[in-house]
Amino acid sequence: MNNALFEEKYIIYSGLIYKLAVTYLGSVHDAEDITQEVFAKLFIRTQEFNSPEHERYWIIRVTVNMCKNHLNTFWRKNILPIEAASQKTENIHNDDTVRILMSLPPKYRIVLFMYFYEGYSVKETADILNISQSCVKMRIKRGKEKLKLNIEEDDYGQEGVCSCNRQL
Amino acid sequence: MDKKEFVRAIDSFKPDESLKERVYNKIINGEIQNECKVYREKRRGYRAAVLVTVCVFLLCIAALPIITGKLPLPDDFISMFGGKKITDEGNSYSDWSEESSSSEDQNKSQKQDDIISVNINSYYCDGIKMSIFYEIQTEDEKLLTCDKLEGKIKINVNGRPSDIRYTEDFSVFSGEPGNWSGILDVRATDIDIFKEGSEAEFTISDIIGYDTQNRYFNRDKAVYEQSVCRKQSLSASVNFSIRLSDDSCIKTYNVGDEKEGCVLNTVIVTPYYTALDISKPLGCYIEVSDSTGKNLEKKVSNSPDTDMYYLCDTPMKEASSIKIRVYSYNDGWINPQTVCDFDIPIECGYDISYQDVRRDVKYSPPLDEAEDLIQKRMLEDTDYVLPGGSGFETANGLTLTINSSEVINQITDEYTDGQLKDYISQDGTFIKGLNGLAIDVTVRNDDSLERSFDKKFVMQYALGETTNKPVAFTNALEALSTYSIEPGQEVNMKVVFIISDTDLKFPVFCTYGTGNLYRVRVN
Repeated sequence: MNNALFEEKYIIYSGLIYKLAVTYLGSVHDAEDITQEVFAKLFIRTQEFNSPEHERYWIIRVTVNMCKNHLNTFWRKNILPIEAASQKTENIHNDDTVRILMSLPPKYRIVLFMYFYEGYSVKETADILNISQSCVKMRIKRGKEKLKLNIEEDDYGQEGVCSCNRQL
Repeated sequence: MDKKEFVRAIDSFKPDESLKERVYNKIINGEIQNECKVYREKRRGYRAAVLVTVCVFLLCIAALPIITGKLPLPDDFISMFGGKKITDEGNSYSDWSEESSSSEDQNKSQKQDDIISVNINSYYCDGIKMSIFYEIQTEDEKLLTCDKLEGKIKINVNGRPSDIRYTEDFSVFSGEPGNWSGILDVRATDIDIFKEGSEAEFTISDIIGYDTQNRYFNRDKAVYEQSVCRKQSLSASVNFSIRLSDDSCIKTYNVGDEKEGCVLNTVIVTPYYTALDISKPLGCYIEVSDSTGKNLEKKVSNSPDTDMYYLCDTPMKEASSIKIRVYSYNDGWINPQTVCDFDIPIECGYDISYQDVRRDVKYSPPLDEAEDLIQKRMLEDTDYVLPGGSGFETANGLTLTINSSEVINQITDEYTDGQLKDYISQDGTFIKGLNGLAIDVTVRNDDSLERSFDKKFVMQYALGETTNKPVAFTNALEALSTYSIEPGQEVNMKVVFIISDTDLKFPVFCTYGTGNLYRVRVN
């Protein structure tokens, strides 16, 4: 494997994959597993990407799908005692803000992440998550209501407001 | 919580520094058995792909006038969507219509086929756009049995090479035997072209008549096809001199009605479109129809999810009202709910074309007999079909055997664990829950040299009319495009195709290689 290429890809995508996985799963250990799996898939994939944007889109899509699979596997086959479950998530719930965010269902968290943090449009978010645009809008609306999030869609995109690290 | 707090919360999720090494090790020493190809930034044929893309782009640019000509839009389209109110005075339209007499009955001369003729019932022209309402008639016995005509339609204004020439394929349905009506919308590329007195030639050609009510079974294709009443190089044309339309073709209805938070301000009916000025709450959309039952398809809108302006098809000539129904998205598109209805009386519409009305179709032979015919036809086809288990030598010396097949009802965790390691196909498609057909394959290398296996399987249905490529392979982490097999090595894998219940209704064959070199029935 090309070490330089690995370094480059890891720098660009590790944060994205990890943050996305933690947001979705609420567990750092599970997010680390997902991160490893996604990079493994990225480096054995033989079809070239059309553009860096395509590559990013593919990575997000694969990460989301793996998180979905993981949740299903977790609940079907690994019914953990409550104590064990809390240990898995303890190190990200120390912050009140994070705790509030994690109180949302995963489907709201992921939409808010895609829309407000990553800066994707409603259409792009719907395409990536394979849901309808109206569904995206409702989840944004309800997510904001539950978080009592004081963000207007028009505010997004102003310089200095968003710390999105989306790269082209 | 404000935005900064939200972003800060996400930013706080930082991976441990040791994760990098674990990722690296997983890739190098972990569960990938074979070598990883060097990750290339550019694919083969990149230059060819760029060249093709440029050519397609240039073709699209060249065809742009034809494409835009299909949407008759007012000159002040932009300002209309910017919120300019439309009043009784019709200020928005005074710029593009000229005072002139009616444009009807301008047929000058006709060149008619002995079998078929075309006439212009009316046309509306504002100098930039023209809508031509035409009628095709015949007394030919064969064509009298047809309910649909297809062919080519052409409009040629002034006849010089630099003038507008527009051709398109058309399809029209009959309202009564021997009579078909349709509309041709044309947009001038040069404002001077549609001048008062410009000579226009309207031509139909390559006419084929279909009887869509009677379908006959094509044994070779295993499909039902429409009956062809007459296929012949029929053509007809009509010339006319263009007269520009006046404002009388624009009907404005100032409604100003409010219901359930929706406000319908204005409805405008023209030969080119129906314009709606409507305000509605977020999360709502509209459907529009006329009193004859015709659905007025939305052509353009400012923003489907907010209030603004819509351009829809024109209502039928005999329509007496337009109905606008507002729906709320509710739970996505699953259960939309009606919010309110607006019924607006109108004088009349402009559309004279007949719709494709669903009528009782007669199948010959009946549908249940056709299925038996397909089954019998496919069982007779034994060319290149090898029974499973006998093996086949590939082009590069490997021995391939399709051992068995298994229908998977909804790909689930239980099935994929231990066999297929994930739900995601090679392009990231999420395949969990879909129905699949898994083929058990063995590939053996009896040679003394390493051989590569490209895994190019396809699934064939209905006499080869449709094909399906596999979406997943056993141990997908090893699913390279080319599988290397050592001398004396034998590899077993499962190859999964996504299928539907309908696919399994008829014999299904799995094929490997070029054409039908190795073809095994799998159901």
